[in-house]
Amino acid sequence: MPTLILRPLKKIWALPTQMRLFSSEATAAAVANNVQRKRAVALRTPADPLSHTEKDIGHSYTIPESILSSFFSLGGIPKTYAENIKTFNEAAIMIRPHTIELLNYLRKANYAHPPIRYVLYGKPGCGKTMTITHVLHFAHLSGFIVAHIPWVWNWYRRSRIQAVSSESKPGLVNLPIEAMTWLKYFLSQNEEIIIKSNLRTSKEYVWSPRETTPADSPLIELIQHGIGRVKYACDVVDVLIDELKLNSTNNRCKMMIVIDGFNAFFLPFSNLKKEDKSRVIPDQVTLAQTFFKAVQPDWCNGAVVVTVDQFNTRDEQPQETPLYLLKKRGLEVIDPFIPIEVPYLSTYEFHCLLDYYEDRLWIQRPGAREELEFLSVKNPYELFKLCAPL
Amino acid sequence: MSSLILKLQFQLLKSCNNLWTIGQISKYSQYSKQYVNPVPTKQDQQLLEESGEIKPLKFLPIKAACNNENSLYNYDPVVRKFHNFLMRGGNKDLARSLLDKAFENVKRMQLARYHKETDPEEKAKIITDPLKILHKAVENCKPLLVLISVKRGGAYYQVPMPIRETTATFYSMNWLIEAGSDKARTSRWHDRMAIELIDASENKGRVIKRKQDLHKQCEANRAYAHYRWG
Repeated sequence: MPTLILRPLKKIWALPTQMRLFSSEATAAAVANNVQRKRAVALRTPADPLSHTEKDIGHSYTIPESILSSFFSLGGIPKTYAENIKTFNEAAIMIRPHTIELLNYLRKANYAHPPIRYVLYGKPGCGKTMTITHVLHFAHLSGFIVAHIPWVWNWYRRSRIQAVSSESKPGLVNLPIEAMTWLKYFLSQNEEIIIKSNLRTSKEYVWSPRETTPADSPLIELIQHGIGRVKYACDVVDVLIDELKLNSTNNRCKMMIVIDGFNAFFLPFSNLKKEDKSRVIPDQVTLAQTFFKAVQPDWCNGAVVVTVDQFNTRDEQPQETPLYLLKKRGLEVIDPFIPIEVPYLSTYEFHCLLDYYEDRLWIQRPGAREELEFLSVKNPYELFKLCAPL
Repeated sequence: MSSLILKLQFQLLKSCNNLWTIGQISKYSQYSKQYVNPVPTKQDQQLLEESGEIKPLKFLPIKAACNNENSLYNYDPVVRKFHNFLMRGGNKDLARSLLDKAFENVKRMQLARYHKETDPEEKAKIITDPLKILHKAVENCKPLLVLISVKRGGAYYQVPMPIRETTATFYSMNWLIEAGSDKARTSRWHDRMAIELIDASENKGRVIKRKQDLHKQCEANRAYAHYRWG
């Protein structure tokens, strides 16, 4: 170290100005004052979603690593949440009252009757998708076959995807690659259950003069055919839903249809284009028609959980209620249903969530809860974003 | 005739404007000299009250506080200064959001390291607070001397000169910001900045290298040090 720039000399040159406020020592002292209270400890529930009750509200429960690497291996959880799993070193979900309400309905429903349709609605950032994740975990553990669409608008969002006219259903268009990826995702989630319950096709399907799926062949083969022959992927999805409905009506399996952002199916526009460059309306796509069929109450031994979202409209001041978002066309498809509101956090939940963030070091400098409460309006995602630079 | 008068007036105004830019004549302050600076944060007010320095201030008129000086939960003087240096074209919203994102990235990176570390002693050493990391980084990047060009005997010499704390902070923060901007087009400023902040807080990285290079240059030019006077 050269003699000229020895540290002690700095004190001679440094003049006592108002910059003293800016020195790290002063601020460090101020920060230390804040941190004098002990770090909060999060409330946790060791149990899995099968046994979650009203007592667990406000607690967090962890999705085990085995489920993450098998059931959620090809996505299915929101992107921000997937990032946070790394940061928090665990995949935790807070148990909230409306989730318990929905789980109770699912537990107590009579599965001999046609499926009950549950519609989750709420303001953006309140946790509709996280509720779906919670319900998916529940469905997986209680032996449902899950047909889950992570976000409907993803099918219509990219204008690069070309919609191909359907051969089997004139007037509609196919999204072969999207259907193929969905089949892969479906297979990754349900392969075990389908093999275990030995589901088989009811009749013969002829795809082309050379390709057929004979009657009484395993359902896995049908799915593999859709993945291998992308051209027929949309038709395979259609047939698969029919077969699953038939199988669950015959009490060979249970099925749950879970769709996030259901009202995107009823928009008057999409970014997709046909071969002649004309625009496609969302319900002209075969996949949409398939899932309209899936949510109809003409089968039993299952349940339907969908969410409606304000992001899927272009209105200037949209409401969050299902009646407003589904419009007439949507109501024709899904009425009657049980609406479940996903509300803002209660004060108790708000403090539980902040305790969790302090526990997992997401909030480094505890305090200022009143300010955070005021700024976030107890909206969980807003709160998360406010705590990000803290 | 009238156009001539206008022209003269314009030239007069222009010369006045030039006077301001020279910096010899300063603009008049809004406040008279008896006004004192405000103390915005509650903690600082408490400190003044405990030490008894607040007594004379109580009977003096006080300037209005700046709108970015407040007692909110996320207020920090260093961060405030950093926002001001980072701001371009008066877009303070953007500056704030960029630094917030950089803080988030710092926290995510440090927490990933924290959870990966198994040795408890090493674990305790990892700083996960982004604010502390910023303070440390700014402190570590402050230069002690800078080179200033001085004309002596018809030639310009790069003369090492000691600087004030304010100037050192200016250099440190601007070097950090420049290092964040020096990135590939595909990556984001806040991603790059997070890496630079963590590096600087650990006394390594590009900004620290820049500081050390400057110190070396000062050391090499110490023969000119006496040009500082006279």
